[in-house]
Amino acid sequence: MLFTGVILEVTVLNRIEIFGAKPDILLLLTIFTGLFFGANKGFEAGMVSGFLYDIFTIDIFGINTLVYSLTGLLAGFLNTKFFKESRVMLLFLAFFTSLFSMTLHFLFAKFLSKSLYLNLSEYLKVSAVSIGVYTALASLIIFPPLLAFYRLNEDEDFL
Amino acid sequence: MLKVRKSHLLISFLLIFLALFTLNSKKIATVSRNSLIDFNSAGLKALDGISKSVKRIAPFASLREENRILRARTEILTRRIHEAELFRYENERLRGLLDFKKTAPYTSVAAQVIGRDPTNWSNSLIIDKGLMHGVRQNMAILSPNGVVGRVLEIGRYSSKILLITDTNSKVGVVIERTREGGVLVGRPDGKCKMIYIALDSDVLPGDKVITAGLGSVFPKNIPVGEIAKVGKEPGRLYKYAIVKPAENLSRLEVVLCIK
Repeated sequence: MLFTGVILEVTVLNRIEIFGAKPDILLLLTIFTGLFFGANKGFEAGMVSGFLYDIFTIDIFGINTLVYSLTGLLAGFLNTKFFKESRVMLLFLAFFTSLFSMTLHFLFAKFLSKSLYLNLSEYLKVSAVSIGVYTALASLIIFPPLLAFYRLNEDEDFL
Repeated sequence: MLKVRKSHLLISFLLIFLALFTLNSKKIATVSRNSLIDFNSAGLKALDGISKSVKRIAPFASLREENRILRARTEILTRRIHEAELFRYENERLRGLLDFKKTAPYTSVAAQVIGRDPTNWSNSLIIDKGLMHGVRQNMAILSPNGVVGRVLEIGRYSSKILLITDTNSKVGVVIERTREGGVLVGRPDGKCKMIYIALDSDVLPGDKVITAGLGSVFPKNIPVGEIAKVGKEPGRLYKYAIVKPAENLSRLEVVLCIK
């Protein structure tokens, strides 16, 4: 499922850009896995997603693996803290986790790349918040069928 | 507290840090990533092939294909006309002042875009031409409307392009009207930012930005984009300008690698 997601993003979904933000299917899958299956599964899903991104992107190698793993872990931590059946709560959780993921990515990139001109406030202003909103709204469309799919195949390994 | 297996976490983090810091060392990263580009491009080409087959079966597919080819030709001709105009402008401006030497004509390799960066952080493209087709590292990548980026990683049959909108991209540029220079850096929202513009500059929204030709990557006077907004950052001694790229980089299908 994660591999199909990254192939779709490289070839098709990249064309659906709104204000420079692209749909991040693997981030959504990582957040979903963490929120509904706990920290271990979230961490594993994040690690695979991040690694797949590291193969296809020009970014610092390994940075996506690290960021997505930690995002999955955070989503897993939130698993037991909030009532997930509420759509508003899911929207908020998806927004918060994706914002965390992007801020973490920025901080690691700033630490590892000396040539990065961007600063955090500018990054949040021009990009991260709009991506967070996009991801949160996309979660409303993507999470329900994923949940239904999981419930149908509850005995099998989801990923 | 979190119910995470400690050994599991420890091993995973060790692997991640090993990948992050070891593979980031230039030599290993180059070898492994160049191999991965070809590995990826094989899959992407296969997908591209399947999508083309489906298009052929669909009604009006041949017309669509013909339309695409004609559009690509029109775009290339538009680029040539624009280049000719730029050279003429350059000639008129400097004739009589300098023993102006006409810029040497360059040859190009046309390539098709077969993949795009999946993340929101980086902006890159994968093209279907690599070392075997004469593409080399740091070659300039142009489109019919202007600058696209430069070759960052090369495989034997495909390459990765760093777009001018990537946060790691830096291009020396000048404002066409005022001839003032600056550096163009990428932004994650798909636009660029021209920095180090002098405070007394009369740069205005709508001004065209072209390459400065400094360094060895981009030829001189290639269109880069148009200024959308001008501002001054607090505490800085320079102005900045937000530049909208001349080319819609999320819709690119064909590019030229300039030798």
